[in-house]
Amino acid sequence: MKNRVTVFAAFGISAVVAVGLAQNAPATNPQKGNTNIKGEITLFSWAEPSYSSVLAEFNKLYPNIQVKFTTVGYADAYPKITASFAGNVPLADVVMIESERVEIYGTRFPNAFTDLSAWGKKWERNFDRSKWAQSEVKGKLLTMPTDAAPVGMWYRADLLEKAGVEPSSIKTWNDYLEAGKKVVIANPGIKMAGIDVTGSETLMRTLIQQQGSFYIDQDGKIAVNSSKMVRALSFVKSAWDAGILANVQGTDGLIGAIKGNRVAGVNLPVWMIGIFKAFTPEQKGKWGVAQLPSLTAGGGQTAYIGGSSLAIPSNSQNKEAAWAFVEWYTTYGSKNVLEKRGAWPSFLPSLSAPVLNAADAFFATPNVFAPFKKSAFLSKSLRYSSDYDKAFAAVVAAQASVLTGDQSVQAALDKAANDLKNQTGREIAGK
Amino acid sequence: MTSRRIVLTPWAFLTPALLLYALFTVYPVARALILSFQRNIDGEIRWAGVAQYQRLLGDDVFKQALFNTGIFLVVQVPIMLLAALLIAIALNSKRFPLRALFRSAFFLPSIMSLVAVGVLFRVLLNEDLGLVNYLISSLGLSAVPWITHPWWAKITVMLLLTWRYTGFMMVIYLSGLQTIPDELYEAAEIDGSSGWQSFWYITLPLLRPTILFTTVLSTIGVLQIFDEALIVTRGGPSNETLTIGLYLYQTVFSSADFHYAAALSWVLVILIGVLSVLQLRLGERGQG
Repeated sequence: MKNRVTVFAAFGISAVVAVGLAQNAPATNPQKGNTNIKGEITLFSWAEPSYSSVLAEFNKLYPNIQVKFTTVGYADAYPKITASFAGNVPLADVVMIESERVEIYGTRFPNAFTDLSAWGKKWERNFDRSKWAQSEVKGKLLTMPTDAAPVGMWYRADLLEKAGVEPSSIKTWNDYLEAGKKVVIANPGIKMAGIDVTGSETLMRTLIQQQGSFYIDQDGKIAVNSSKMVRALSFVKSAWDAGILANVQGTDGLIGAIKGNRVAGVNLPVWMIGIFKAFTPEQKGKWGVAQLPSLTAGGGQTAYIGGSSLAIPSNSQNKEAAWAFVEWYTTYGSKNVLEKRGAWPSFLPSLSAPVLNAADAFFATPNVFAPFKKSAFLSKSLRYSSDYDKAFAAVVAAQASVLTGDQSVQAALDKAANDLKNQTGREIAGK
Repeated sequence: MTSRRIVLTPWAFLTPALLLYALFTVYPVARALILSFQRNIDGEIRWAGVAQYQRLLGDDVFKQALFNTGIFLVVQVPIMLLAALLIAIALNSKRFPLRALFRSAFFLPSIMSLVAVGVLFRVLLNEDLGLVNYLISSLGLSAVPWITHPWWAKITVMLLLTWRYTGFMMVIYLSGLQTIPDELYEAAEIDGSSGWQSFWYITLPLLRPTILFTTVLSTIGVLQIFDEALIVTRGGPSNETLTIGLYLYQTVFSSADFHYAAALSWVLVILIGVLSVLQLRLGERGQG
C-alpha cells in the first residue's frame, strides 16, 4: 500500500515538473516559427475573418499546427464563455475576449485561464501600456492583447464643405458643437453625428477617457459621478439639445444613418474604415478623418472604444500550439492583421508597417491612418474593472434619462453611482 | 407477487420522467438555493449567509425591475385576457364567417420564433426608419419614440406580449367555451334571457376554471418575461423595461455573478409561488 502511494506521489511530482517545464520553456518563436510544434487547435471567436485571413502567414512559420474555428454571433459569445468557464467545460484552445471583459472573467474565474506570464512577459515593453494592463489581473497575464481601437473624428467632407466648415478648424468640442450647428443648417435633415441614446455611450466614453479617467478608478472606486463625468455628460446633453445629434439605434441603425446620408460624421474607431468600404462603397471619396477634438485647447485627444485579446483556457489540451498562435498573432502577426483587416495593433513595432503611411483613394483624407498614429496610446492606463458591465449599464441609463427625460446631469450620475454601489459593494470615489 | 408487480409498474413507467425531472429541475433549483448563500471571492467560493439577499434589498435596479414587471402584470394581463375572451366568444359563434381562418390567424403569433418576432418588431418600430412611424407620420402625426421613451417603451413591450399571447389564451378559452353544453343557452333563450344575461349567468360562471387557469398561467408568464424585453428594448431606456428575468440573465451571462443571480431567481420563485397560491385561493373562494 505504501509503495503504491509512493509511486503515485512520484508520478504526481514528475507530472507537475513536466507541466512546469513545458510552461517555462515553450519553443515558440513568432519570427522564425517552429516545425516541431504540432497538433490541431480550435479558436473561439465571433470574428473568424480576423484570424482566418492571416492563417496562411501563420502556417508558413508553424506548418504543423492546424487552426480550426468555432465561430458564433457576438450576442452568443459571452454566454458561451461564461458557461464554459463556470462549468470548466472546454470551449476551445484559444478564446477571444474583449479587453473590457478580461477583468470580469479574471476575477470570477481566475483558474479558467492559463497564466501566460511566464511565456508572455517578455513582450510587455513592446505593447500599448493600457492594453497590456487590461490583460493582467492580480499580477497574472490572462490574455494577450490583439487590436487597440483608437477613436477618430470621421466626417463627410462634402457636407462640411457645404456648410463652410473647415475640419482642421475643429480643435475643441465647443468648436465641434458650433460646426455642427452650421452643418445642420446647411444640410437640412442631416445631423452632425449619430449617438445611440438608450443603447450605448460611445461619445461619453470618449470624453471621459480624454480627461484621463473612466467609470471605475484605478483604486477600484466608483467614479461615474466624478466632475469629469459630469463634464462629459454635460457636453453630450448640450450637443443633443442643440439638435446636432441623431439617435441611431444599434449598429444597424448607425449604418442605416450613414448609408441614408443622414449623418455628417461619426466619432468611432479606426475600424470604421472597414465599415465604410463594406457598407457604403457609393460614398467613396466623401469620408475624411481627423484627430478627435479635445475638451480644452491642447487637452487630451485619445480615446479607445473596443479592442480585444486572446486567452488560452486552462483546460486546453495543446497549450504550446495555442501559445504559438496567440504569440504570433498578437506580436509579429499583428502587422498582417493590420494589412488584411485594418485592425490597429497593440504591438508597437507593427506601427512602423508601411501600410500606415500608404494613401487610400477611398477617403477624402487619403492618409487615413495618420490621425490615429498621432493620437494613439492613452497617456494613462484605462482600467475597466471587474464590474465594467454594470458600470456600462449604469452610465447608459444615466445618459438616457438625461437625454430623454428631464433629470439633471448631476442627479442622473449620482443615481448611477448609487446603483453601482448597491450592486457591487464598491465605494464611491470623491468627486 | 402479482400484487407487488402491479404496484411497481406505474413507477417503472414514471422513472425516466422522474429521473429527468430530478436532474434538470430539482437539482438546478436546489443548487441555485445553495449558490444564493455563497459568494465568489477571486474565484474562491465561500459561504456568505444572506449577504446576496441583503444586496437585493439595497439594489435599486432590482427594485426597478420588480416595479416594471409589476406594471406589466397589472396592466397587460387583464387587457390580454379580456381581449382573448372576447375574441374567443366571437369566434365561437357559428354565425362568424371564416372562423377557422381567424382562429389560426390569431393563434399564429404564439408559435412564431421569438427571435424572428423580435427582429420584426425592432425593424417595424425603429424610430427613424421603421414602417410604423412612417405610416404615423404620413398621417400627419408626430413619430412615436417606441424604444427610447420610458412609457412608450413599456407600451411597446406590452403590445408585443399582447400580440403574441392573446391567440394562445384565446384557444384555451375556445376549448373552455366548447365544453359548455348548447342546451343551457337554448333553455335560457326559451326563458327569455338576453345575450348579455346568457353571458353573465352561463358563460362566465362555467368558464371560471378556465379563466383562473389562464390568469395563473399569464401571471407566471409575465413574471418571467425575458426574451421580449431583451430582443426589442434590451431593458432600456434607463432600465424602464428591465424585467426580473432580464436582470437575472444579465447578472449571469454578462456579469458572471452566479450567486447574486441565484438569489434573484429564488426571489422570483417565491414571488410566483405566492401570487399563484393567492390567485388559486381567490378563485376557490369565489366558487364556494
